[in-house]
Amino acid sequence: MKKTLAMSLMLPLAAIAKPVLTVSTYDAFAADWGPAPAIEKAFEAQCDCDLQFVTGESSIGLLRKVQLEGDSTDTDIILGLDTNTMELARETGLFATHDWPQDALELPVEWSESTFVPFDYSIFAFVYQKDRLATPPTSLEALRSLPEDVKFVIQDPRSSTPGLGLVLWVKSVYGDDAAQFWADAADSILTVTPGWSEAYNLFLQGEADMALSYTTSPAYHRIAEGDDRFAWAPFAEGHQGQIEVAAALKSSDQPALAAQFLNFIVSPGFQDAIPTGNWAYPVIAMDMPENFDVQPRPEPFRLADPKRVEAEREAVIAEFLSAIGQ
Amino acid sequence: MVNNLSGWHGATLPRVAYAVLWGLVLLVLGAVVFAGGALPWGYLAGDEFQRLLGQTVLQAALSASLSVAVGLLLAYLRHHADPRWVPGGLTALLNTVPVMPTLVVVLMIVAAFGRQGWLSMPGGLFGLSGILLAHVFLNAPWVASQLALQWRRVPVNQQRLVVQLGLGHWRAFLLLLWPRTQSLLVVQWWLVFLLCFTSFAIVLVLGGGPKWATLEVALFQAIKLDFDLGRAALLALAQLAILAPLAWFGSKSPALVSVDRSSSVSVSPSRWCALLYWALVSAWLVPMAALAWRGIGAQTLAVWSQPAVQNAAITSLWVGLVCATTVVALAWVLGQLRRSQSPLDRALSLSAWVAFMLPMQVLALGLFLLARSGGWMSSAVAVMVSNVLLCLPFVGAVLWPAMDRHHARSDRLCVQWRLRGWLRIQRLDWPVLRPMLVWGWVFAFGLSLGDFGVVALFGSQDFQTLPYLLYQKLGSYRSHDAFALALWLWLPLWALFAIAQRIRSAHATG
Repeated sequence: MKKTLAMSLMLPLAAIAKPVLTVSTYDAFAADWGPAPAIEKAFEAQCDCDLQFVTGESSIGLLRKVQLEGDSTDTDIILGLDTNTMELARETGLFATHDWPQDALELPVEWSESTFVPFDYSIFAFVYQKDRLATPPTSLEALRSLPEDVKFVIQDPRSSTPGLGLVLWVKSVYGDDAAQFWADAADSILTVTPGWSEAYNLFLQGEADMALSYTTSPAYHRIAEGDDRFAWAPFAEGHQGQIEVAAALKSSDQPALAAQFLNFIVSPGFQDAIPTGNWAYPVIAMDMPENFDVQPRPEPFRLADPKRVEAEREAVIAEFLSAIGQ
Repeated sequence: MVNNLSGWHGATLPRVAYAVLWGLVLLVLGAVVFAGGALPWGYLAGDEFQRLLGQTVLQAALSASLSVAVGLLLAYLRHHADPRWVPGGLTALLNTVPVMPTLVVVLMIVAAFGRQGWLSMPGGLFGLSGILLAHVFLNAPWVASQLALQWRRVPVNQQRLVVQLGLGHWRAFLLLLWPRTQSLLVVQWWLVFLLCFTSFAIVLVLGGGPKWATLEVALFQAIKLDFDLGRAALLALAQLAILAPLAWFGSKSPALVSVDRSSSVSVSPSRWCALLYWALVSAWLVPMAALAWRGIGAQTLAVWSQPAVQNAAITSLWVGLVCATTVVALAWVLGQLRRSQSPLDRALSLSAWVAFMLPMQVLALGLFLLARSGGWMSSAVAVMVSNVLLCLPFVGAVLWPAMDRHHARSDRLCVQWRLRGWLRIQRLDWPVLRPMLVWGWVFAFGLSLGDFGVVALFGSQDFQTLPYLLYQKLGSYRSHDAFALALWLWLPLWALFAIAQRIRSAHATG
């Protein structure tokens, strides 16, 4: 805000007239090392506008913030909701529909939707270090009877996206037996952390043998750190995934620009920044960076039906909490 | 009594300051209640709330008791240890612990006491034991430093007498120190209790599961997941109703002995106590070594080449400077009112504890709602406000007893000499209170650097503090950078605490 003010004082009048598109996103996306800087550059080259990112700590936090702000919000687009929070967002009635090039998509699942535009997807998996865990589990079922000294760490479904993903994953595989699964697995769960950061750092420190993370995590260590000891454990039941989406707000004072940005999302200008910027899979067909897909992606993956998630979330979370001994 | 004493700066300014604080509390609460609509009172009678409350109270009471006990032990050993064996920097190092970012403390503790650590806990770290360990780790050094301050005031002639009578350490302790300790311990117990009552990340990460979740977790769920602002407001009100009576208790000043011809030399320095002190302190040194081990490397200096780090450092620096200066000035103004015996003034003084009674999340939410309707609050202002509120009880705990003592001795004199206003501050108050003010300033500076609770809601690309960046890096695989940043937060604080310590010691012996 201050920066904009200072800049607007210094720049000539013509520059001030540039329309501003405000995109609200989670902080890892907008970080210096995230995909936002490259996306900003690419979009501004074609829009003659000023693309600005504002951040929140989590995707659900973004939605709540816009809800609190109501019509007074500066946000034009929320980028970072996912298939598990999408219906929650739709119910607020805050989002507009758009015509965007849906045929550009190449997703492993069907997508037909005029409000929410997918911008990347990721698949949940347990990540381990090959030199520390010689025989990783090969199924969810195996998590119920791990050797006593093998511990894994997961996230709280109330505060974390992967945490919610895992609870839905287990529910979709086990149905009514999900509670029993959690009761059996409880002994091998080192702890349940509020967010991904705590869980993954406990794993990195060697405190846990596996952490619930993404199939792209080993790619980060391989590409960014040159460390190929990390891998994810393929599970026989198939893997749960999430698709991250963006949507424009009805209250936006730049609807044309917002529409242009939503179209831009499914183009190479945006998608090129995704694999090694957000460490997720792009939603259009493109060449992947070298060493990204060393282990084949689990396809097709499980995706919880957003409407069912919305209806069942509370019960599924309550079942999890009571089963692992709240 | 107030009106009889004209030797002080008057009650108007502190009363106004307290009224502003209370006004802020009511505005924040009002904004959340208003946004929430009807309050779901039935929730308070439900099983979930009762269970959460019971466990929170139990956990906080255990944490407070253990922290106070270990703090007492630390202070006892330090007091009796041969000073040649205990470098001053060591105490300053312990003082940095309470102001470290919580997640860094958690990872330090896991590195030292986890299954890979040098001090690996038998039976595993995770569970209630892990929570208690972390709370003691964070709070015991604070308790110890408060006790050390108090014990400096034992008159030299009494110490000599004890030596002449040939009493052992323990008898001497009971005779000389214990009477000066009890009331302080009670106040410290409440302070730690309030802190642990609102613990969030520690209880979740080290609790081994959601078993020991506090009311903060229920609040998180109400605000973020369910967007039930009515329930959030109700939880905040319930917490206020439960904690306000405790804060009332804590706001009483410890009954200090007014004699103040002090000496920092202990009765008979002991090498054994020094040895035991080192053994106990290793529980802090090993986790710190683990942090240093992770933070030192190629990235230690390289992080400074990142513009984000440079900007965050500058932001942190000025946030810390402004917050620390504001909170010390505010605490000094508020402390003036402690001469007053009127129940109304006592009730006003409760608001000094507001940050501990009102959950941070509700404070952030309330500030955010106010900002939305008024448009007058930026992220920077919200962060300042919440930091100042968070630091106030700590700075008050150090400064106010010292002010009481100082006022008791000097007010009458000032009446006789007609020393008032700036002249009094310049000639009398500042020279006497300077060590406490400096120490409080350093503590507040550190705490404002370490906390980032409110930034998350107001976050923008232009306002990032170092701890915020640190959490961001931990959240995107960049742990090496994060630990390097933790080191850069920690080392300057150590230096500042060492300086504050030196000023304080010089004062105590002078």
